[in-house]
Amino acid sequence: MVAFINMISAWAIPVLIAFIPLYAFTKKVPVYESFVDGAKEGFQTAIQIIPNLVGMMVGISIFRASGALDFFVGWTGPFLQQLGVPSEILPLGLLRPLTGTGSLAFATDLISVYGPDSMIGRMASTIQGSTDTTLYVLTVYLGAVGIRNGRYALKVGLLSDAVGFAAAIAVCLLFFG
Amino acid sequence: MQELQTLNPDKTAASPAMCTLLALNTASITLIPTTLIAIRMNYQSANPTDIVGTTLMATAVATLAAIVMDRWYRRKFMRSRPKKPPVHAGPVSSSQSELKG
Repeated sequence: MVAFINMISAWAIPVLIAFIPLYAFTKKVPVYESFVDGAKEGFQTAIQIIPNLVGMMVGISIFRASGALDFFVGWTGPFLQQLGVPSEILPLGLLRPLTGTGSLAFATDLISVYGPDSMIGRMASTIQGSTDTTLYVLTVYLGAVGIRNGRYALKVGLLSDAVGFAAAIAVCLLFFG
Repeated sequence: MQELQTLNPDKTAASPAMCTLLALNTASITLIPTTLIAIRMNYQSANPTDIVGTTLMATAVATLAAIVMDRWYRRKFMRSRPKKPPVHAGPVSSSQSELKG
């Protein structure tokens, strides 16, 4: 199983990079033109969502700067440590759904302090890589079509982030432990 | 999202289909965590890509959870409101009969 996962790790990148343009080519899709069209749309969307992004970023900054994040980590840390979750990794789990750049900086810091091949470094890599920034995705997607009521989307996104966080730690303990 | 918005009866609130799209997107099946691999290379990892497998598994679990929870909340949402929303707030009993049906 470990050998199989290592094989996927080694082959995933070259196979995918070769596969996408080749598949498009066999389907007679104009590869480069499609790319340019997509990139053009992305630029317009970027301008449209600026107000939503500003609002979200202010909220997240306040959450971090006010000490609410640290308070939550201090409160839940000892309990999670009993389950094998290193307390160093906990802030990353909380930051991950909120801010992509913030959590990436935090993950990079963990990797540099503990080493990329340490358990914490691998957990940080897996957590950071395995999910997207929920709040950012919701802001961008809903903002792009002018929706203000996301209904249960946020709840589902954050709950699945929690599941992903637990899964990342469990898988790392299983394969690198 | 823009295509889904054309089908959405309430333009200010997300439709169930949008919520499903968002659930999948926020969990986001990650095939290759390229940024992380690059960072690991920078810090002289002996095997920078050895987290691809664990990332794939974690992301698969998270996506599965997102699908299940989206179904759950979608069903709850569908039951909580009558098929044809009344113009003004209807009596509680009308939504209750909808629950049984």
